[in-house]
Amino acid sequence: MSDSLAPTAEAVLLHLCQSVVASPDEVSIEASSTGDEAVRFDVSVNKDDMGRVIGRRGRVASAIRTVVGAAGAKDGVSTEVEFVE
Amino acid sequence: MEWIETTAKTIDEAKDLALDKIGVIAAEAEFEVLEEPRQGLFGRTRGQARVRARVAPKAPRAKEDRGRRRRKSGGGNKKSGSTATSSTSTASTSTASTSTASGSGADERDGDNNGAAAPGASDRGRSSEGGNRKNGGRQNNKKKSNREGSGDRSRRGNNNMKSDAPESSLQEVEACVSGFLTGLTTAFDLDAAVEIDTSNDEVYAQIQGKHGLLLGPKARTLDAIQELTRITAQRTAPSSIRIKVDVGGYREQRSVALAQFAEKAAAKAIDEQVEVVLEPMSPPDRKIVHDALNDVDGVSTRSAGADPRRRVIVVPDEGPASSDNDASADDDAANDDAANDGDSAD
Repeated sequence: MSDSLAPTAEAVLLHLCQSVVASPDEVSIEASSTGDEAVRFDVSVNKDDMGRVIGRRGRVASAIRTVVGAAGAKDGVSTEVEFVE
Repeated sequence: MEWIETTAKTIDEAKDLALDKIGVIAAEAEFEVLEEPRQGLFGRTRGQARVRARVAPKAPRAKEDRGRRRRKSGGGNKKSGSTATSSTSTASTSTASTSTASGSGADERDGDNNGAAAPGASDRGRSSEGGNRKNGGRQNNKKKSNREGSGDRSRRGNNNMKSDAPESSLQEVEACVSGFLTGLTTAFDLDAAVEIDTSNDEVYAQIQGKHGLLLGPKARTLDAIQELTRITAQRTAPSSIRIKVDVGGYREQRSVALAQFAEKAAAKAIDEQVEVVLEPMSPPDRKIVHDALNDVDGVSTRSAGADPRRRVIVVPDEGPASSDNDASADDDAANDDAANDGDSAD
């Protein structure tokens, strides 16, 4: 796991995702830089957990994005979170 | 409890629609599939999915339902028990499923926790015997720190299933909330203790310290944290216990400010004998206003509008009002306050 881009945001994201899914071991995050101070996280979870991380009408996903955004602020980056199977 | 009925192309859509109508999250609703969508020739959908829903008296029963349905559609039926259930396909009712042999209760539960888990996943859940809920096992892996043993927990969950009151205990919810929030503050690398104050039916988690980072603009971050806390707690320890998360006393302060604002609005309503329409607010904020003005003589309150834009209206009572509230024109600041509520409700 690359820690250099946004360690706080990544740690928070991992914690949040692992908390809401049924298979926490299958959560993995890939961080990539998308600009000067922008990081994109691709979160992959078990296929069956997609619904859990996204939630009804994307509520869980947007809550996760909000909190990760705050964590990213600590790292001085803006964040983007995508969920992939 | 009222049932409402919805139809849509798929069961999930119908379910979603129903949830919107009754305005609760899936975990709090109870569903009955009245009719599954039938596939017509050439893959064209002919029949509509019909779903009946209501606010569930017990939360996990709805989950159970949902699991059963998913499993069915996943085609991963493995147990004779579950096949029996699915044979009731078109007109299956949740009550029917819960009243199946008591032994199968745990299995149902298993399937549910695997969620949409198709065939492969079922091995995991099934391998453990009835008493050991998948949920308990998972919880244990995930938060070793705050859970001593899953055995006791699972058993309780199971008993609850049978007694039709599947409530996790306050301690379980508390442990789950504290584990989640402690993990969160650790991930944030913040030195913030989490204090949990548990009363009869509410877990109130206070993250100590003024951490603006956790609050966010218009408390959006805090609201998101609270939502995720609730979701996590609901998934690991299902219950109807209310959970509130606060950072550095923010919510408390705000509710005091909001109550003061409400009193000013009441004073205005009484003085000018007009209805004062407040800004749109979120349900908890509206409750604060209603509660604050409940004790004020000369006014009553009601709400109008649909939810993201629902607002409180302060109505002066008929006749000579006994006004012992100071009229004040300086409710600009307070107005901003209310505007904030409206936004955070979105």
